[in-house]
Amino acid sequence: MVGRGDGEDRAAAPGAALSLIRAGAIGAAGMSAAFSQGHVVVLALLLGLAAGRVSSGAAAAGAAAAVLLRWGSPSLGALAGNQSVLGAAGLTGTSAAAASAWLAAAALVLAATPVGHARPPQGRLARLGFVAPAVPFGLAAAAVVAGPGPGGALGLRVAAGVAAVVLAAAVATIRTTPGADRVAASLAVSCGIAAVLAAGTS
Amino acid sequence: MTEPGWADAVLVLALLAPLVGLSGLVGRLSVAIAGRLAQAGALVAAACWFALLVAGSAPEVWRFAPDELTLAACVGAALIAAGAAPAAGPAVAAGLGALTATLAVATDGRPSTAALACGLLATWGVAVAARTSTGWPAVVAGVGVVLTALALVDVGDAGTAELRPLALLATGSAAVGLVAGSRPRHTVSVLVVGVVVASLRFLPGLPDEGGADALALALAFAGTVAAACTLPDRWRAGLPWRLPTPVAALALWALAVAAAPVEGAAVVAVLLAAAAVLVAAVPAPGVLVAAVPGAVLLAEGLAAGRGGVLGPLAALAGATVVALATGVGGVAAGVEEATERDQAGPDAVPAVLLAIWLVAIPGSWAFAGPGDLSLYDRGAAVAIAASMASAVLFGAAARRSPTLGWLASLPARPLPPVRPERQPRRSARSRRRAARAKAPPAPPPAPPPAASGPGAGADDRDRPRHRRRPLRVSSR
Repeated sequence: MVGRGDGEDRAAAPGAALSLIRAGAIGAAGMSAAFSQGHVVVLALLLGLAAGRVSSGAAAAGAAAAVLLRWGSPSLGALAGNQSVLGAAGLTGTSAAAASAWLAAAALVLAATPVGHARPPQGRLARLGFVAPAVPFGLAAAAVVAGPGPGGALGLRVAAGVAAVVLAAAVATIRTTPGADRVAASLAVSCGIAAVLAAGTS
Repeated sequence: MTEPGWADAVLVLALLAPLVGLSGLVGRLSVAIAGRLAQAGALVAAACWFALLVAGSAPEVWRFAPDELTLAACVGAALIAAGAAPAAGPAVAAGLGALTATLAVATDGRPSTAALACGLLATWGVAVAARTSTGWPAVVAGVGVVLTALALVDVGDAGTAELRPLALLATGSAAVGLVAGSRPRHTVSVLVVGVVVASLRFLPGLPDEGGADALALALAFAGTVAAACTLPDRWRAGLPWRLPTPVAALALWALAVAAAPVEGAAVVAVLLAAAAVLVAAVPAPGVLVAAVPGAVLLAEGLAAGRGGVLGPLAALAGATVVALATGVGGVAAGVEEATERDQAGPDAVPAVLLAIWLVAIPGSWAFAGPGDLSLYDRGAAVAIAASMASAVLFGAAARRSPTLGWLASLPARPLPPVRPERQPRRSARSRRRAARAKAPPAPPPAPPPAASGPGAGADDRDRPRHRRRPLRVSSR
């Protein structure tokens, strides 16, 4: 049985395990998204690497393109600064712009993946590790839709971050079933494309 | 600042170093030794060109006066040749010598297009004459080289703004790029450096209203198709060709960006071309990350610009990224087996280090042009530091915890061995008595061997439990 922690399972499904490269990408993406440091396209690449899925990377790239189109700057710091002054991205601007922010956040939450396709393992620590790739997706979603930086509504960002991480972890747990995995991947890519279109028309 | 004498001496050494590989033609050397000599010459040349590039020197010896882009191109050509040398030997040494020497020739302070055209033709001729390139790759590369040479002669040293010679130049470069993508670590792969450098020099001069949009779209479409051709067999529906490396896709995209009306196009094109050359030098899937800086800046430029061609370009770029990521992911996940050429040897170390440098601090690659890469550099620094810290922390935690060890696919730290409980001292008689009591009963006599055929040593489970009666076949 896969996911019970015995040696045979490890040998049977090597691709399902979290490699150190993925672990590094998870940490880097989480740091970038939480503290709004770096480049939005680099964050999308890190998210794709953290998820280990092309569909998740495509959804993250769509969200990054939507941010680029709306704000005109690839800097995550500028994104947070703009939201500090103008308000949360999902609550300000034209309806198309706000919709673009929400769609980008939805794409990021739906793109969250667990470690492989196995069922969650036993033990609290192992379960937390199992949904670890979802954490940077939630933080990035919060930064996109409600991510004011210092000087703005930081409480809103923290609340949005917690909610988005919980949602992303739930999505990641649900995606352990093959049918739900396919549906979530399709929805994530669709939301990413829709976010780009909405940002382009705003 | 560097001393001119020092730089000139290094330039001479860089030009002459590939000729060491020609010693295989003179003496009666084995193929392996000739290949090693050619490889050593190429690596020495690469080191010399790199030293000149990093020192920021502008050496000038006779007609040889390379600029920064030429120095970088010569580093790339030498690295590709170092990878191809063990198999090609003197042929690749001759090709490298001809190409780098003609790349470095300048007239009136400008790189000489006529010399480069001669160098491209000579390199291709050497590859064909030495029979290191045969069949359709030789033909396609030859057509591409001839087209490029004709275009270079037409363009001239000063450049032109006409569409026809530049389109010819791009077409020839694309043909050579396709061959380089299909033949990694090959003598003809060295050619891709020359044609791409020639295109990068002159394609940005094409005005927007002069057909630049159409040329950029055509090249981008070709790059997307080339990227799709790198996919594994089961995902490459409808595309009969298989390109083992993404060199062609990256080179074609570099040409497309050079011709496109994208903000900072020259820098993006040089970064993508550098990635193509590094992938040609080390065709391992992981080296594709060298394309990240170029891709990031391309996304930035596409989002910042306004124009009718940018939308289709963005869609094609997205499709290319998905195709390349799927191909690399397929190799990494074991869907597709890595070929023998994907397994790089020690000679690939310089190219891998350059790829890491390019990914981490592309802003320090001054030859790429005056682009603003500071934001990318800061983001990459944060990402690399955070990823290393989290990888170390996660690895340490995974080794301590069995559950996280499963997640990390790492063996958990083994538990300390259990010490046997100390037994009370007993007399010799009582020990003998206990040993007799614990001794197992005498084993039954061993059965005779069942068979002496090939399965005689097989496991017991494979043997029949009872003897079967052989089938009798009637003679009627």
